[in-house]
Amino acid sequence: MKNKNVGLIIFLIPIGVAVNFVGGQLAVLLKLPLFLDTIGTFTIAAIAGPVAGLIVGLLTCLSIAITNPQSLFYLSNFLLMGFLAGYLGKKGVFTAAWKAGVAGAGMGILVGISGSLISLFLFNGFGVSGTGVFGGLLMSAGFPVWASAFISNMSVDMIDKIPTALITFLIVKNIPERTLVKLPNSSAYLKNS
Amino acid sequence: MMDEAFINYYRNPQKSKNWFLNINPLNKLNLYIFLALIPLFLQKWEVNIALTIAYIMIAVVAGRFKAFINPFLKLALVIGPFFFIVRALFWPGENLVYKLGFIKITQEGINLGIQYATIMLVVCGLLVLLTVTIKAEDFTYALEKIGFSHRISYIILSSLQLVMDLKDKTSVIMDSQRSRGIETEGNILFRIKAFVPVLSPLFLGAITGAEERSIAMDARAFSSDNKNTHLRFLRPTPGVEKVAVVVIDIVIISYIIWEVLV
Repeated sequence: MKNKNVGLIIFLIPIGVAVNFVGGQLAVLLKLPLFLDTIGTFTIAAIAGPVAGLIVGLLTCLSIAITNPQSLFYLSNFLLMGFLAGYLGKKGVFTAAWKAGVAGAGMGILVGISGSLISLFLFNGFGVSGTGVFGGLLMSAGFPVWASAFISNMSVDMIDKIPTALITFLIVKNIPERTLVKLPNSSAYLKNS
Repeated sequence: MMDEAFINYYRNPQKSKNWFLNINPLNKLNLYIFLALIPLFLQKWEVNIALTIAYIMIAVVAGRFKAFINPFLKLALVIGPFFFIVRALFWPGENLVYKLGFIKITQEGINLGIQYATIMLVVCGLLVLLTVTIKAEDFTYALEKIGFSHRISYIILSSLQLVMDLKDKTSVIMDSQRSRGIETEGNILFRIKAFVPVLSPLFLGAITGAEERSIAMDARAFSSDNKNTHLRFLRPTPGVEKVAVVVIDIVIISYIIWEVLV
């Protein structure tokens, strides 16, 4: 039984990577002011556990780097999100909208902290996209470098991760039970198991 | 006649006319990464520029210059200036060069900007070079040869394939949802609402597909732990190449140590 589970996870991981990619593009296509490029990581981690989340995060980071080289330096963020989503998914966070929202906010804060530490040590406090401009404006407004790095990264990540977690909740809710039952985190979603 | 040529194509190792492209993928990766270590430790913008030129030269030697230069310029011309401008405009410093309202351009900011913009050129060069000189299937083949599981090969190759497949599917789903009356344009609320009906059928369809695929692959002994065979294979790495890689690595490391210490 255990071996079977591993089998299905292997086939789910590529989907997570591809959905991350497509989700990010869809957000650009619909001109949304969000990244939404971690939905695949969240969802696969939520149903298949932290290890699967870590692998999806790693592969996503490497494949996104081809079009967006800066993301390579934020590898730890991708891994952190995969692991956290997997762990929280096991605890049943993605079974209710409000829980998912709170978890999204929490993950946004943690990822924001790790992201701003990377920005601070590698990029002198400037983020690598719009975050960098925002942080730069805060710096000119008189905030110290570390404060503007933290504020810019954390707010951007929070605004992005809450909708991501909510969308994850909606998708997980619609996955058929016969699929869920074969996956490691199934006990969180199936009531009568 | 065509069939015979097709069959014979798989009887010999996959070879390119170019000697550089025939190098073992892992050795190429090793070469690129060791070269990238030089600017990491020396931290001079002249070195960064020199290395970027070296990467371009490698692309020329490999006969992939045309494939290399277009994506490289697209990336570098966006990222390099962005890194420079953000630092030049906002970095606080002592020596004022130019002042416009609350924006103060300082000499420190400009120096920092040049340093970071050029190191990003190296990163862009490295990534584009990897994609144009190493085929994904060759890379996973080389990984399997040094003992990685074929499951890892599947995950890597399938991810790359699925990105393309799902991209095509997205536009199909978007069109069909639009024809059912879901608005994908208009104010921001409409556009956010359109996101879920497009993404979730895509995702759920892919997950169902994964289940079917796992059964189909198991029927073909995917989960077997026996050694698998390969349809296309690479030539065995020549001894000269192995020695050359080790020598180059040692030279680069001793150069870095010499430069940093002396």
